Amino acid sequence: MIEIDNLVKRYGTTLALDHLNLSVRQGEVFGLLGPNGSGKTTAINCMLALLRYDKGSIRIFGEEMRPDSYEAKKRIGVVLQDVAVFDQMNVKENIDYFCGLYVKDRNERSQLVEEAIQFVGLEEHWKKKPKQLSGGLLRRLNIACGIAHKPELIFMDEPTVAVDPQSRNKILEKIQELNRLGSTIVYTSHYMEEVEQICSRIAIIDHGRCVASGTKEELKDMIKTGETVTIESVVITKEQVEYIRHMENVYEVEYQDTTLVVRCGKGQHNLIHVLQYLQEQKVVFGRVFSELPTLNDVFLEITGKQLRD
Amino acid sequence: MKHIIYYQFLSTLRDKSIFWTLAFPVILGTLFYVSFGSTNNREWETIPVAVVKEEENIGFSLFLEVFQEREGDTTLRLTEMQEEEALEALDTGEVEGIYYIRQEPALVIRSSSLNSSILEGILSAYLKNESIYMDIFENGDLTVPMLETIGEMTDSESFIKEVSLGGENLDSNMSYFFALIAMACLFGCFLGMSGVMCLQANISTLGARRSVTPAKKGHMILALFLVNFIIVYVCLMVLLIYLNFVLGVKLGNHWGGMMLTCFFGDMIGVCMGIAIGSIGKLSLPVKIGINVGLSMLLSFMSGLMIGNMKHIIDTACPIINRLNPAAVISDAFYCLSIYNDPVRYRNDLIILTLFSIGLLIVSYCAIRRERYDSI
Repeated sequence: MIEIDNLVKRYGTTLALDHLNLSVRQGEVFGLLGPNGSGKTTAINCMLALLRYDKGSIRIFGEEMRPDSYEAKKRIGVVLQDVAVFDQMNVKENIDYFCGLYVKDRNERSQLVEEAIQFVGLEEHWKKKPKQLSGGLLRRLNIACGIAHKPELIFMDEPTVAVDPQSRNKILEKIQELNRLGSTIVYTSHYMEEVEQICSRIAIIDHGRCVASGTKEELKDMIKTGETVTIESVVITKEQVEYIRHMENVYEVEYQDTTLVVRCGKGQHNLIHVLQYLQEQKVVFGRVFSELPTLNDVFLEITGKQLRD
Repeated sequence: MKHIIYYQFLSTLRDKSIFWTLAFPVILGTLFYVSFGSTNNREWETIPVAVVKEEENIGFSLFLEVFQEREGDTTLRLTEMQEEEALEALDTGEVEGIYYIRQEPALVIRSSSLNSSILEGILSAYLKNESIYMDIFENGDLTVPMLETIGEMTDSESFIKEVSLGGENLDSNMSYFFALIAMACLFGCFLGMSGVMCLQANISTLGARRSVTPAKKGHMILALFLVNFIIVYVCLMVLLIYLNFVLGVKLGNHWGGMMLTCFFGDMIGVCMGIAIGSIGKLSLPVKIGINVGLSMLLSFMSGLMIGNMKHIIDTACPIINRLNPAAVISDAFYCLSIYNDPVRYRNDLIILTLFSIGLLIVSYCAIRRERYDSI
């Protein structure tokens, strides 16, 4: 559905997109994950023909995307990072206005607007103006304006920024529902939890480059870390630490301030082996955590940085 | 297209800034009227004055009587009173002032006003020529009626008669009102500018959202122009009706011509705003500043603040008046009301039309199919 080939975009001397290659398949929720300033929004704006780029090509629905690609635009919905609605119009009027730019038939549009209001849960607020809505409700209105016409392809640029957890969960549920109804979604975020929750395929972007892409499992398989075991309130000797370091599958051990962190590669029963050893050594310990690798771990291992500052 | 026009109307009408597009010219027109709008047509009321005779001063007494008894122009209504009575009448507002007839005449007034200024003027006129009046009384030919003699001295005779070539209103203060209407036309630039900025992705998030829809920029600009044109035109009609029927400013009888002039003036105002809003990536406050500065400068040059500024520019550099939309609009009103020159009037409308079309084309080219370096 979307093919980006060798995309380069500069802001003056700053290279925002560095030979970016991406493809988005029909029917998937494609996540663009990266820290602030990695080029996610720039990539989206180039795809939407809002920004000039220096090199490369962008094809959507098989056609090159240009500002006058009106046929392609009819099939696209956009939820931008900043809320873009008319302050002078109420919820229903805003949704009706934007839906009307795509759907000419008044009856059909009326039906779609009602459905969009129900979809985002703004039935009780349809008469209110944007200034009367909370941040979460405003974000829902922003989404409704972008999806009311039931587009085939939806771009969502960090739609949950500055939103309360309850509204965020609701928004993520609705995005998954949109996908189930047939829309392909391109979703950008710097929250790995969101991307892990809803995206079927993910591209990790850093400094304008795609550093890794694939499903969650494929991305996690790319890195060494299979499991991280954390044991708190434990007092062990240097020799015991060294012994754990040489256990099968263990590639890194940290012991600081009575907290032991053991990083293991792919393999099973890592936690059991560590605990068994400590029990044999009659070492007393407190809480025990076992974590599977996250996308942050993927990002950290590939780039050497955390996903979030 | 209908859908876009409908919602453009809705959002513009609900925008509070529209209030000033109507209110500011109305307020300014009212201030103009209060300041000088009625001076040439005013019918002067007789001013009630108390006269307190403290000493004998025949010169001043006779002088005052001139103002009381002149035919067809009764300026003062003199009532002789005792001082106490006179002071009470002054307090209650029954009289505007008290003249004290004594060797050195004096005037007491309650507060500053037009009438009290007139009373002061009368006293000053006497004191300036006091010695002449005394001389006339003592040595003048008493066969010539004394009042007539003094009356001759106070008359200001004009030896010039104004004749309108077009046979219309010659009130020199009309230039201010024409410039005011021209300014009101240019005020359409604010609506035009704010509307077009909401179409640009690099300035407004609404612009970004609208840019990714399949709605064509040309349609949006056209809708913006139509809606703002209509709204500003209604404001202009309200202003004309207010000036002519409420304030009584005689704008002339060519209502069709005035409405047509406002039509073209409205067009140039809105187009100017759209053009300013389209060009460059300046922020909203900066563009508002440009609009305010430009509309005020053009209005100033058309005579809004100094009545004969248009004439000064016409003498020094006439091309400026041809390029200044406010001056062209003002000139069109002059052609209707004073010059009665249809050819010149037609040329003014053509200039406004050409400017408007040019500005719209510039705006359309600036924002259609636009991709930005950054947003």
